[in-house]
Amino acid sequence: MKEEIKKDLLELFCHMSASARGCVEEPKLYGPLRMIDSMEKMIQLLEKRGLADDFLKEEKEKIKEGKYLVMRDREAFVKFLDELVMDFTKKLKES
Amino acid sequence: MTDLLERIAGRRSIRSFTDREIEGDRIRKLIEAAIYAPSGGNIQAWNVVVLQGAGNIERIKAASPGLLGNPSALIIFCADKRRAYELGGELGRDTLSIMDIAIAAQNICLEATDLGLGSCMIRSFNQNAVRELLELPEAMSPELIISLGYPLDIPEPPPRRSVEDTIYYWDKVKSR
Repeated sequence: MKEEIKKDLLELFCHMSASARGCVEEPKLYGPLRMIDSMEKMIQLLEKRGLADDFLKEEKEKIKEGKYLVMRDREAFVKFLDELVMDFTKKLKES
Repeated sequence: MTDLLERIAGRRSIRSFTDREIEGDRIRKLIEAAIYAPSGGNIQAWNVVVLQGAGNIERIKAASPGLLGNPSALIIFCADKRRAYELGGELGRDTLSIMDIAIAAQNICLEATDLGLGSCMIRSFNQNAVRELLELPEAMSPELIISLGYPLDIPEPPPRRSVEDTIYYWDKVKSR
């Protein structure tokens, strides 16, 4: 179990560091894309271990759908990010 | 016979795949499509790495932020910089080898569409990390990844510029 967590985290950190390096040269909007993609991966990691609640599962699905907007509709992508921020902010306020 | 332009227009970047494995003969056919692509000076300075094992794909995914979804195979194009330089000089090494890969990759994606497969070209990956994971020699430079699988979801076509918009000029000659 411990080894599996370690492996999953290594994959995540590899993804995040490669994303950070890529953002130096990639289009500006790829920065937000990489961040929410990392969020999705983190939620997946929690889900795999039964640690994600319904809210996180819903947000993961929302990210999975919404992230591709970056490739076809900039305005819609930004709106989707705004909604995501509010989802997490409201949840934080409730907690 | 289907119109070639229709096939070209019908190709999509697919990022959502079923679990179905791609048969080996189909992968071979894709690579065959690639070798018929034009090559600057006919130098053909590229090789491919094919990955079908889930563990290997996951590792490459970790170093490739642009590799989204769950492909069942990857074809990784590597430029053989030594061959490109020996046969094509600096132009061959720095430009033609990359152009050759781009053209060959398009052939793969079109053949994939024809075979009912989904594909996506990816350049957002860390070249050093992928080279390290694949244990490639220094002269072999990973340049482009094609993710492949049987499509689960085919997205709507993204907006394209019109033909008119892309033509800077057509046979415009200044009269003296």
